[in-house]
Amino acid sequence: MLSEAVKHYGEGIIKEYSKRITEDLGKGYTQSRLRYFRRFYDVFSKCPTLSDKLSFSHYCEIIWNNDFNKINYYIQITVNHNLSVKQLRQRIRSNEYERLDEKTRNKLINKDRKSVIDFVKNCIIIKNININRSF
Amino acid sequence: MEDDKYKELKEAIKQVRELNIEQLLRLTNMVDDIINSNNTDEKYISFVFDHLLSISFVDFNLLKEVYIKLVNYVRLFNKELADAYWNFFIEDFELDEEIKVLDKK
Repeated sequence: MLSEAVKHYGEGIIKEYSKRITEDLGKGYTQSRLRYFRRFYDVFSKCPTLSDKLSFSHYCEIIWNNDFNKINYYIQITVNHNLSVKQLRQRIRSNEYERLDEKTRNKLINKDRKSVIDFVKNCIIIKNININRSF
Repeated sequence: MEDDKYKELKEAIKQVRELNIEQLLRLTNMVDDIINSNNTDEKYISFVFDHLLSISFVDFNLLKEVYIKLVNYVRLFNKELADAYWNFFIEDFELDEEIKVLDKK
């Protein structure tokens, strides 16, 4: 509904709706809240990989990306590690997805089997540990 | 035409609000349980905060009251977590300057 209204009347309609709903129903219907809902609908109508293990506030952290692989990555790690919104935000701010090398990223996109090495930047450390153990 | 769309949106919001009122009541009980049992489990408290932040279209004052209750409780033993979630609340609901000033007092 919101997306349709924006298509017809432009972004300004969100501001107007926010004002009118606040007048009619009370506080809590901010422009940003309405924009979250609109964006949520837009993203997941194109990228339908929702998980019921994430709360709406989790999705609010990731829906502003235009890269669906990135969105899916953050959904996946949130589910796998049971991340709170605070923890998820920290991972996004540290550019965790961008720091993955291309090979690992492709594995994630293609849902190939991943190993620990994929997520460790400097593999020399792990290789050395293995060498020491063999002695 | 614009008015029809607005009416449709308002009706949808009212329906979501009905569902979310029940959810808010459940979360209010969870907050009370956390406080009464002196629960300091960060994972569980974050879970409750995350779900409170997810609630939309309910009585904002009631939501704010429950949220602040939990923030004030958490601040007693984990200031960093309380501050982080208070900032999320301010950002998410675009709280005005008056509330930000009240928070600092």
